[in-house]
Amino acid sequence: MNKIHYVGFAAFAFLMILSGSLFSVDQRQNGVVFQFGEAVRVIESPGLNIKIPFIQNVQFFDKRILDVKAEAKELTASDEKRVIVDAFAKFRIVNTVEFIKTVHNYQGAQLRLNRILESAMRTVIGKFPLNTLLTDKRANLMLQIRDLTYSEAKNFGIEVIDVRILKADLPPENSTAIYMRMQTDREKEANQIRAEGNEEAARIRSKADKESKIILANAYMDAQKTKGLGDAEAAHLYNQAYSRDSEFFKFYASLNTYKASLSKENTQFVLSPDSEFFKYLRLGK
Amino acid sequence: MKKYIYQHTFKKSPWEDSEPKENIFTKKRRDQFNFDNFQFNFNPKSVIWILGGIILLWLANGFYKVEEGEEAAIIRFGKFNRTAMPGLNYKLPSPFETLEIEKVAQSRRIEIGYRSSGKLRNNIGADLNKDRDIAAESIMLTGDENIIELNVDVMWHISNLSDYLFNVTDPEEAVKAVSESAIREVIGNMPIASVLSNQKQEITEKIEGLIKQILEQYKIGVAIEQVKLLKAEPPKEAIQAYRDVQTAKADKEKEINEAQSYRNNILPKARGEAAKILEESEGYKVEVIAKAEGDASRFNAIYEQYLLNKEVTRGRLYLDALKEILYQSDKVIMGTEGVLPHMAVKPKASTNSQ
Repeated sequence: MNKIHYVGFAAFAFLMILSGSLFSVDQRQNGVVFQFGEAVRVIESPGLNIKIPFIQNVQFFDKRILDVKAEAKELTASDEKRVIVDAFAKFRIVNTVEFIKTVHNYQGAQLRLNRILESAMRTVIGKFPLNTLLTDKRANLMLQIRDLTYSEAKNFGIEVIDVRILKADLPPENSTAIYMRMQTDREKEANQIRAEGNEEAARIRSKADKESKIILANAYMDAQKTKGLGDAEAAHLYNQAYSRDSEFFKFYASLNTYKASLSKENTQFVLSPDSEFFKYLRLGK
Repeated sequence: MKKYIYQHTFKKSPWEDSEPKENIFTKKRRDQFNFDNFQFNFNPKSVIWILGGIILLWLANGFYKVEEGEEAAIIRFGKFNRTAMPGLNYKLPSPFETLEIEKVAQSRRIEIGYRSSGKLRNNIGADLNKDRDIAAESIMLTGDENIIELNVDVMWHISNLSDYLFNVTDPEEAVKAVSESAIREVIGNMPIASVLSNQKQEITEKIEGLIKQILEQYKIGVAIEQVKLLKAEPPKEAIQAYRDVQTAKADKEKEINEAQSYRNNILPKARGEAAKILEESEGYKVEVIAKAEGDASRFNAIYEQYLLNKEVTRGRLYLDALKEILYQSDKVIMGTEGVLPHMAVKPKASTNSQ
């Protein structure tokens, strides 16, 4: 009976000591062993480790890439333009002891980094006009911010890996102005396009009109020429014939003209019986 | 048979549920239980049997299944030990080795600028219009200081499980933040016209390249599959004006088309008219000449006869002409004596009726 109790107690004590002295360090973390509050050991490789139970305790610090955000802040670019920028930084704890001494824990680090990041953004963006942010120099700006943050954060055992600007927007009142400008820009474009359409159409129409006039005029010219040729030829023919006896021609032509012009329907003839025409009529009387 | 299956399945699930708990608390309680039981009922041999049984069960707990498309990372005392592939696998039970299973082959999607409503999507007749727009994500500044609204999908999957698990906190969020930043960087570097025009392919390629480049820096263990530009629109405030530009373009086309159809109408007409005029003139020429020739030859013919007997021909011609003229017309023959002072000369037949 007693023996069994002993064994049980011994096993329990052994387990207690074992659990107090063994600890595992996660792949994602560094372990720091404290002895009466003093950091005595940093364990950087994951796995099973031993500490002195009850005297030493262990804290874990993330060694993955961590994230800190800088909230949207209105900053002034060097050309006095206001711009709302937010950014995030990726960092990693590289010197755990230094980290514990200076910022204590992750929350402390975030607060500090946040402030460092903001001031770096203010400094760097204040040095450039706004449109630098809107060119391929943006990457360069981010690098500058990163370098600034990097050198300051180094003191906290932190390595800043990357700083990225998330947004770079104009303040709302500027946005309204931009919307207005975009709108008027488009209206301008639309008007221009329509006017160009009208211009093009008018050009096509007037060109068509011109061409048709030219065609008709040319045709008229050619027609008149042709007719003239015909007239000339006819006149020549008439001349040839009629010039043989101009006296007879006059007589003949006059008769033809009388025949043609004194039509039967609308002419009334008042004839005198003394006329040459009735000479023989009178004779009979 | 049915009963057997029932028992089997019924037995199985409570086993698996209770196993993990057993490791910490229940196990000790059971030990105590056994102690108590032992005191009252059993001998040491049975204690060993029971303990052995419990240890066996505990060891059996190490079997686990990795499904197709998944990978498992086995962590021994916190240290990454190995990855396990789909199938039945074994690890040492809980305090020694732990397990993280992730669907590595699964294509994951990050929605930027909008959130699709998942519930609706599962229903029949899913409505994409029900997607919520996230203005804070979708609205951004272009290189020429215009504002544009973009919706983007970024598809990715886990390419290296241990990197994914151990290198970055909240990798999914990291991918999202990096994507957003990359999109804004690329768009912020371009005039709005090229974003709205047909350069979308080029833009997505740029964004994809930038995201990949940044993520590589983090060793995040993620592979970007595709960046899809779903929507690239001018902001609501200005979209009407943009649409009007499109209308204006159509209007322009219309104007030009109308003018061309006018031209296509008028030119052939003119050509036809010209041809008509020319033909007419040709006709006139031939006609005039023919007439002249005819007249001349007729005159000549008569003239030949006239030369033969001038007096007779002259007289005959004169009388012929008079006959023709006077044949049908009204004639009044008046002598010199006794003429009425008034003569009802009717100029036209119409006066008769009055």
